[in-house]
Amino acid sequence: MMNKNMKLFAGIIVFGSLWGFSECIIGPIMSDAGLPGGMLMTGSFTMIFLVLSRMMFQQRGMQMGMGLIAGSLRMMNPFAGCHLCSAIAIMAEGMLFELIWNYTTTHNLNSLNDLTTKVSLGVFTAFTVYTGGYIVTQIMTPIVSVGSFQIANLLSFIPYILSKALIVGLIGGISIPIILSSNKLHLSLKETMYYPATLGISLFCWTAIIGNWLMYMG
Amino acid sequence: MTYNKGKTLPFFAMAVLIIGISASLYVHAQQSTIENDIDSVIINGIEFQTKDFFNKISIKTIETNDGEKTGIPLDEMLQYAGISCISCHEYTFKASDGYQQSVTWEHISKGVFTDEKSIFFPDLARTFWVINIIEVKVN
Repeated sequence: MMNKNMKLFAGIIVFGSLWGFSECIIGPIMSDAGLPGGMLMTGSFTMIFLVLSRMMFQQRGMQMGMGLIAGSLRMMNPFAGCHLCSAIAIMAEGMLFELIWNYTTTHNLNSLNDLTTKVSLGVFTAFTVYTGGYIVTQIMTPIVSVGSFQIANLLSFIPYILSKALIVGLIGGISIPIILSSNKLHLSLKETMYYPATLGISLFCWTAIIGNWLMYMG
Repeated sequence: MTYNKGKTLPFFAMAVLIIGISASLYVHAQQSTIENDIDSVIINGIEFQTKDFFNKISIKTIETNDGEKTGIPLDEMLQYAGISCISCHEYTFKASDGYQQSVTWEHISKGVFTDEKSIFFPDLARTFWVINIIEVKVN
């Protein structure tokens, strides 16, 4: 039991760190290249880490923990735009994913039998996670920044959020079925390598982000 | 009560796709009807040419989370626009895509308006940075 909990905790750390690393490094690279970084990140990388961890660990609550880890990492990346907005959105995305997948899938994902179900889940998950994260950001950031929020500002922008979420939903409709199909590859890690690998990957992610932050401050 | 996830998931997916498509059509229709004169901005119901601001007001540079931003001080721009008691109001900045944010005087006095009709603040999150402004409302 203790070993299982430790494994789960290590999994939360490593997947959350990878998610945060991709948000801090890959997202801004996409944006600098003129690509819609936020939409591509949510539809692909975010879904990869959330779904893959769900498949591997089959543990409810894990993705919410991952969101907290990834959001914390994002808070340490000041040179990549609005870190407060993104951190809040990431944490909200983790929670929303939990809500959606707890309600629509079984514990071991046995309910996902056919392609239509997988594609539908991908579209619905990506669309809702992106929309929810965006709306939470638009509400929480003014409250945290200036202590107030005006709903009229959000309502006028809802159609724009939903139009962007359509693209994310379509990306999710492709990425999530592909990720779910990866269980046929039977990938596994030797027991003795699990903790060193997770520790190494997590350390790399955190070191890279904190190192970049220190360079920015210097 | 049993719940057939296999039948309801496609329904949910279709629903969000319809919502997304409807929103896209609405945004596209709204943007095509907005006459976005690239060289002007409406402040408190009056249209101003942005070049007039930049001809009359000295520019300044501020430091933000996203690097340096150069433009005219927002408070001076609003004063030039003829708003009485500029420190007494809150201002709502509306962009061409429908995005809008309301900013209090405390932050207005520190912000800049760039020649790309965008506003930036050194002490506010990026949520408050409005790009391609078409209108400023005085509240």
